Order: sequence, then C-alpha cells, then structure tokens
Amino acid sequence: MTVYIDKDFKCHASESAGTTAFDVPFFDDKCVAFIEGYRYIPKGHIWVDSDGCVFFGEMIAPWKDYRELDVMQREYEKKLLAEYEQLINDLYSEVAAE
Amino acid sequence: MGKGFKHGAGGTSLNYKVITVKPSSPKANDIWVNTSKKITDHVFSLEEPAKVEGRVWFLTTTISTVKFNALKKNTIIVYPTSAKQCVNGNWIDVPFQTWIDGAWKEAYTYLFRSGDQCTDITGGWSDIEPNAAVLSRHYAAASEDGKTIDTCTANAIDITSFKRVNAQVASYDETFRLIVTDTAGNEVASVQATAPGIVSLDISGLSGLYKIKLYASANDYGGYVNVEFTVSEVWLS
Repeated sequence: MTVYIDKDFKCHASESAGTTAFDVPFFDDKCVAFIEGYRYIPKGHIWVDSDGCVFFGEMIAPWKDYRELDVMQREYEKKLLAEYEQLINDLYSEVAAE
Repeated sequence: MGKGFKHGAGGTSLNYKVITVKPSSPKANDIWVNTSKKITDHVFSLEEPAKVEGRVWFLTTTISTVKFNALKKNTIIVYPTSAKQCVNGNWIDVPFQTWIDGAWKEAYTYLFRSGDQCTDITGGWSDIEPNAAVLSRHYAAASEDGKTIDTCTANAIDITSFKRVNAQVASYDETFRLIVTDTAGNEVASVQATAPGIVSLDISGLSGLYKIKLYASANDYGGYVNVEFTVSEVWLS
C-alpha cells in the first residue's frame, strides 16, 4: 500500500505538501487511523529520536500508543465484515426473488 | 502520586541504599545514581509520581537485571529499569547502577547474552540449542523459494518501560529483520539490519506483552537458496 511520509517520517494515508510516497506492504488492509499512528523510515534514511538515539531504515514502528491503533483497526475490520455480510445477504435476497 | 514505593534515603528496615558516590566497599543493593544534584527522596513506581525537586523516580516493571528485595525482614521484590530525577521541574534521565553479586550492574534487560538465553525472561529462543553461544540460523539448499528462518522468544515480554529493542548483529542476510510481534505472532514493528553491528528498533509506542523475533527469508540465487543470520546479543533499553 502507498503511504506518504513527512519530514518526521510519520505516515499519512493521503498525499500532501512535503510528503513522499512509498509502497509499504505492511500497511495493506490497514485503516487510515492505524497508518497515521506509524512512523516509516525508508532504507538508506536515518531518524534521530528525542533522546538522540539513531535509527536506520528500513524501520516500521508505531509512534502512537499501539493499543489505541489496534482497537481502531479491529473496529474498522468489524465494520468491513458487517458491510460484506450485508452485501451477501442482499445478493441472496435478489437471487431468491428471481 | 502514582502507585509506588516512596522513601527518603534508606533506613534500618530497608535492604538497599540510594547513594550518589560509589563507596570503596559497597554493600549488596547499594544503588548509585549518577547525579550531582541532591536527591531529596526517591520513588519506585511504574506510574509517574508527583514532581518534587530532587526526587529520583525509579521506573519499575516486572523484569530487570537489577531486581532486588527491598526489605530486610520481609519481601518486596523491586524491578527498576530506568531512573529520572526532577530537575528544575522536569524529569531528566539519570544513569544508575546497583551493586549485585559483587559487581556494579546496569539496568539493561538482556534477552540474550554470552550464550545465556535469559530464560527467566524469554522462556528460551525457539530453534536454538540450549548451549548455543549465539542466536544463529542458517539454511542452504537447492531451489526452495520462500524459505524463512527465524527464532523467537517463547514468552511474551513486558516491554512497557523500554524505548528500544537492540541486537548485536555479527552476520546477516540482506532480508534480516528484528521484529516485535503481538502474542498471536502478528508483526507490529520491525527494522532491517544495514550492516554488522547494533541494530535498534523503536518500541516507545508499545506497552504490554510482546514477543521478540529475529527473521530472514531466502533469496533464490538462480535455483539455490542461502539464508542466515548470527546475533550475539539482544537487549531492551
């Protein structure tokens, strides 16, 4: 999935000024809120945290509390599942009516 | 103030002492804090205590290389992992060491070191012999796409109070990664090695129980696959 990273290597789901696009399979099927809680350091790049610790890419790590991101991703998946189930029920109804 | 254990400098009922100067003859559980600022009191707590000028806050969790019994007569096991001091109203990281088993020890939490799989924390590393000197996996064969090799801690580990997981990589395949997974084995964070040496993964956004994994996948060199890694140390900091 294509994500857009800003100067702090924080991920965004849509393009905006100052962001750079990268294809990161880790984010496939992830909701916007989950993606935007992560930091992605591409290979060849370096990020220095507030303690001065240096991290080399490629690195994928949450900067928001992962427990919150996990809750949002699960809610997103539940919603998707409910939509698919409704779609299937609607299809069955159409077939039954024919 | 958060839940915790607060005391002044020490006392006859306590089995430790917080000091700012290393003595010539240290006693068991002497805790030397590397600070020039007067320590007014100290707190052992997972939660942040109130900011009192000069207070030292030892952040505690459930694992530590410098755990100790805080009481002389009864038992309260304390697991300090890092320390901060309130200086001018702000928490400042301060290094500390504890005199344990005849040596000054730092509060890194090792998950593998010098052939020690740190089984009391990790539960052991999968597919690694008990007496292995390093965490090493290797696979070579003719023509087998998609082969992966890995080793993972048996236990999920409480990484709440740590900011980084680190590995000393001696040799590696270009696909080698240091990974953190949830208890179901789903990857939540990872970093690739770019050269032999220390590779660090930011885990500041993670709290609770997670497993640590070392992983590489096969490269198909024209019908022959070869994949390997060797890691000599893994630790939390």
